[in-house]
Amino acid sequence: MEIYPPPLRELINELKRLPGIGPRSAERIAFHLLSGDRSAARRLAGAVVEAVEKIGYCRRCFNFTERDLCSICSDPGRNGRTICVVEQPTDIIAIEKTHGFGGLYHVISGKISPLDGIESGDLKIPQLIERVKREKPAEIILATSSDVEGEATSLFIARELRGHVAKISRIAHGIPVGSSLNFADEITLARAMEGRREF
Amino acid sequence: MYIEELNIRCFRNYGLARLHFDRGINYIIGGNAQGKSNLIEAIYYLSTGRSFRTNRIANLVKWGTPAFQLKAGITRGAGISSIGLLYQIGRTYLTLDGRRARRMGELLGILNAIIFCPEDIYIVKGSPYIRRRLVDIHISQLSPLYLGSLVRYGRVLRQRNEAIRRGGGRLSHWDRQLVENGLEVMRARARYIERLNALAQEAYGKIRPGEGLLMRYKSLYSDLAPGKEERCYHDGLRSARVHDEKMKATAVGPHRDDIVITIDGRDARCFASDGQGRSVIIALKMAQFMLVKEVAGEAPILLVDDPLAELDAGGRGAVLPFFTERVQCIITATGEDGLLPGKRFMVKAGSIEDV
Repeated sequence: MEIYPPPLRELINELKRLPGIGPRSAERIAFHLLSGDRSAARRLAGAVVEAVEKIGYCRRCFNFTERDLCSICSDPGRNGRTICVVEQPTDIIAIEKTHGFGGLYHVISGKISPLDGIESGDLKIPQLIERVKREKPAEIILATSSDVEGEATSLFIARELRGHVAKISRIAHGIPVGSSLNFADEITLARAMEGRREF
Repeated sequence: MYIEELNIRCFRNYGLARLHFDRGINYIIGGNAQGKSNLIEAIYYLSTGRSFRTNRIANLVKWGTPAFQLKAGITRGAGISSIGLLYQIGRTYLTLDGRRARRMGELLGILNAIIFCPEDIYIVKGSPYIRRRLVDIHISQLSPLYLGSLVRYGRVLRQRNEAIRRGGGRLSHWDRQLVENGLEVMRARARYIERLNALAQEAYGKIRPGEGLLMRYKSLYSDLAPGKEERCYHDGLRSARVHDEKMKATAVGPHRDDIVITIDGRDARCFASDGQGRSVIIALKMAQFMLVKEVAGEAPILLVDDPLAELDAGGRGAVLPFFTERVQCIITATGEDGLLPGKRFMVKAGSIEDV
């Protein structure tokens, strides 16, 4: 027997696909949207439609943007000599929050993972290579994740760019700032020892 | 180290059960198929995060229930630890001292146990995979970094094999991590097997005087020129490339390792008698016992599932030194015949009674 009317079941199914939302949460959100004042639900639906229609990719770095160039690429105050390569637009936001980086970005939209059917050509890596040849930056910073796939992706890009850029660097991995060594796991600690620098 | 207490919920044929162990010998007594081995399996699972009988954790859940839970109180050195494991709809949740652990790997090395079980014979007679697995579990318990290298190696290997299956192209971005982690794995295995061999040879000599046991690490590692391991490994991968593409898999590396066991120069896998095979197992377990004791600073606990079925007369004598007041033993038995003094639990159809 079907407990939910079909439109409600459909809503729950769609919510379940979202990252971090399990069946229980999907149900709760769906019920919340439908109970009481429904104008909030309409506003949410409107915002989703508007974002989907208006947000595209920056032609230069593939960050999210409403225009042709994203706000970072069109900011004349940014240093175009350094390009930081990240997996996702959310990584840009994380780095921007640090206020420690004044260069530009390049979003490759994922990482190489044959097991998930993703090869270098499925990412924005060819576009990165073209861009480097065109813009001739002084440094490429590889800021992909530190797992096996992120590491391989960085290595792949580094090999492709060799000879086209003077400096290729990889972000450091190690102990979170402000935390005690006691709480770091052994692998992180070993990496931090490997990546130590002169003091 | 001692396991003081074990709480079980919906594990195998148990509903709810609680056991308080003695620090010496504990016997679990019951007829066949009453659940003796399931208790050993529960403790082993708390020790390694694996079962020695199945690779499917879902099989451990009591029939008709959605989840199982195991909790143990452990005394290590001067301190007390607790381990909690909850398995629910395909996921395992680990709690250490009341704190949620981030990785299952954190479990290793907390409750060290050496197990004797009927499946042990496959260590001698079975495929290389079984010997690699044995060594891997054991090194992981001694060195937490090892498991990380092993897991990353496995992941890189699967990615590389998939890349080959999809038509190859460049593989060098996988090879660096493959070599890096593969070397870590092989170095640790080589060191471990060397120490294990020395201790096992001595133990075997006591069980079967006049016979010579040898455990040898058979690996790509021995082909790598000392000091140039990395380069040799890369060269090896390169020259196997054509072969890799034909076989659609990576031909060289620690995933092909074996531990060759010989008695007087003859391969035990093919030539060992039943008695010799059992003696090899006892010698191996004694060696592991001593290694854990040395590294962890205290004796592991001993889990023995049906010892009389496993050990011949000579072997039983050699295992007896384990059964001292200082080492905690949990032993299954079908009856009272020949048992030593110690605590007894009577098991019948999934219920446990202290005696």
